[in-house]
Amino acid sequence: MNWRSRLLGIAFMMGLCINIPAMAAEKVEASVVLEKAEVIRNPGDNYSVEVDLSDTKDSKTDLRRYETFVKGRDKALVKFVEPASESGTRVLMTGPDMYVFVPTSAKPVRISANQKLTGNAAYGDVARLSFVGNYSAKHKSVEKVDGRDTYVLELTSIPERPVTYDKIEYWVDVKTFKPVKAVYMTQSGKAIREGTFEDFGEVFGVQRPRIFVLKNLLRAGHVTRLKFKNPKQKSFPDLMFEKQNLGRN
Amino acid sequence: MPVPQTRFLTAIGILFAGILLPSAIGFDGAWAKVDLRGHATQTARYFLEDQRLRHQITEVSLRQVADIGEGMTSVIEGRFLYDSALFPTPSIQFRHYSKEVRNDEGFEAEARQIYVDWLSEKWAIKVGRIQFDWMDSLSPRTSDAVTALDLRHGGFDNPSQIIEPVEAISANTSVGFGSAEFMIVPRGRHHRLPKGENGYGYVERVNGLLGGVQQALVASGVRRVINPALISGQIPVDTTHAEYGGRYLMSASGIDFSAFAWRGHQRTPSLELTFDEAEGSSFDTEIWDLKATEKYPQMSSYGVFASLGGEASVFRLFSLYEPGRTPSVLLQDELAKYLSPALGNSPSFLGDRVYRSGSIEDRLRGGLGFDYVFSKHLKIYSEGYVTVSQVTGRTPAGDSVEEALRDHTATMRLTNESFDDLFISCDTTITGPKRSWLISPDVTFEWRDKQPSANTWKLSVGGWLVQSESEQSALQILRGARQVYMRLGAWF
Repeated sequence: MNWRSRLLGIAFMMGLCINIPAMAAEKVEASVVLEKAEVIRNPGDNYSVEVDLSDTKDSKTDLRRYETFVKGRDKALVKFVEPASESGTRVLMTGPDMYVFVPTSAKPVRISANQKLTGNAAYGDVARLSFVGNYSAKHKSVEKVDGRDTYVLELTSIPERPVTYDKIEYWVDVKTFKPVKAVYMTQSGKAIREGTFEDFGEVFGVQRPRIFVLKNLLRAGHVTRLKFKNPKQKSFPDLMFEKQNLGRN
Repeated sequence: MPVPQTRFLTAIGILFAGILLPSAIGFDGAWAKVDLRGHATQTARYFLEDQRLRHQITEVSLRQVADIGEGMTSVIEGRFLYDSALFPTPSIQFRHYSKEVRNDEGFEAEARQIYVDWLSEKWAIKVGRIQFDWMDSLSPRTSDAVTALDLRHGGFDNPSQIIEPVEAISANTSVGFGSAEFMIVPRGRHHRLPKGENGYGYVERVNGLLGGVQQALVASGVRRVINPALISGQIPVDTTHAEYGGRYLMSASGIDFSAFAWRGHQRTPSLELTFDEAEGSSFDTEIWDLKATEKYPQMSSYGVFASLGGEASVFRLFSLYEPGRTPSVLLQDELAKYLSPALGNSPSFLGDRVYRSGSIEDRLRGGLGFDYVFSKHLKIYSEGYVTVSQVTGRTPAGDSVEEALRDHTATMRLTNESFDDLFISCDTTITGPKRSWLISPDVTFEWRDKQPSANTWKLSVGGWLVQSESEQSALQILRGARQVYMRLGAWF
């Protein structure tokens, strides 16, 4: 075997090595990867969970507490628990519609989808609404993140769905389908937030992320940390997610 | 029993009710989860007219929510108000408020809400004393039909502060593609108005009207002693005057739709002016009573609402139809005969439309709202509506009249949240056709410790600027209420 044949053989082997993850990615449909990742990221269709949010900006930290109730893939109710001045406030997301009930207003008021919650996090982040059914997915590439092979999915919002961001790049572990990170973008493709999924632990019998850290890519040092705790599986009545019942307790 | 003692006992009663209601209803389940919240504020309002301290209000509000069973909660909400500026102290000399105003506004202990809420798979039911507002609009002032408001201080406070609570049974359930809600209010309430001249216009306006009528009577040659008086009216409490209504809500393709029908009473009083011989009148001295009696006639109202939400905007449409209303001022036939030479054939008198008894008014109100979120630096919430009234009846002179009247109102709120602890807002209300406007800027600074459960403190500074082009402007009555205020509060 001459040197030229050897070189070709090495190049072939290298190419094969580089392309192994890509070939694996081809084997699994993007929508299937998304579904498998969401089964891990999202505890299910009917559950409640408490969320501790800490928002750090310019070395100043703001702490808040919420209770969220999720039914299906497009209904979520966020109850504000702390601070005391916002206790009693509720946000309802049902399909593309979003309402807020503030105790001082005494009735629910419709708000636009981009009304942010606090700091980096949006209502959709706190409610942890499923990407499945709200975004369409396609493969972008396969990358190594912290030594792990990950699928990079490109998610595009489906019109009239309760989404916070127009586009998302979503990194999912090739072997375990665990969500690794996500970059949230505007319609024009400008990256505005980067979220990482941390502290995996057993929730409803599956290893799931219990902490979500959101970095503001437009402002250095602005980090929001959401800690999900005390999850409970329960089926809630549909009436709980009706606008006229938003002020109820 | 003296009024302050009665109110003190009410305050104690609210506190005990808060403790006992969950136990009484939930038995063993009581105290499974009880949440007690509250806030205390101190507000100083300075009127611009005479630079006097007019209000120094201490407010304590408590709200207790207890889980008392599966899907069942009890809610107790009490509010205690004390206005020290209404009570004499050596340091502040100017005390113009009457005893009625002091009794009405000086101290208040009220249960704002006491109800049991039950949410099941099929029904959501509320029973008790509740606040509600079915108008799908920014301000509760848009409605003059379903929700009674506390207008003692102009009615521009937070909705929860000014919506009058009612005892009610409310139930809603899923029907078809949406949900239907039914409500019964055995004892309807009217707008709460000041008991005397308190600087916010209502009694001042009525006194102006009575004074004008008195002058017109004298000008007409009436040579008697005239005693003008405002007689407070009430909505009768019986089964025929119970209020009830229903509404249907649905949402499809991003459009939110609701419609309601309500059988209730006029919330603003219709003033019936009468002129009768008084008791004690003698041959030598004929004394006559000129009375303005507040009436709250029964009426039906129908509302339709739609809204569409976008990425950064919300668009709203609404229409409210109220047929068979009673005009705001009606003259007794006897009095009209005396007044007609002075008034002529015009129903316009001192800024009010004046008709003879039996006249009716059909009112149609249509409006639209638009909210837009540019960024946290600028959010706009706006709403405008036009009201057309068709009055059929008789002028003071007795001629038949059928006339259409139109007025309009536009409101806009601008907010700025550029700074984390600072909330800046400015509300503007413009009314027409005799244009008047009210601007109320507010700056609120908020701070708290670094624990999620720490108390929150807020300091607000703001004011009311009122201007009107004519004596007949709708907000003219609030000109005396131009003010600046400062509020310090703690939420716990």
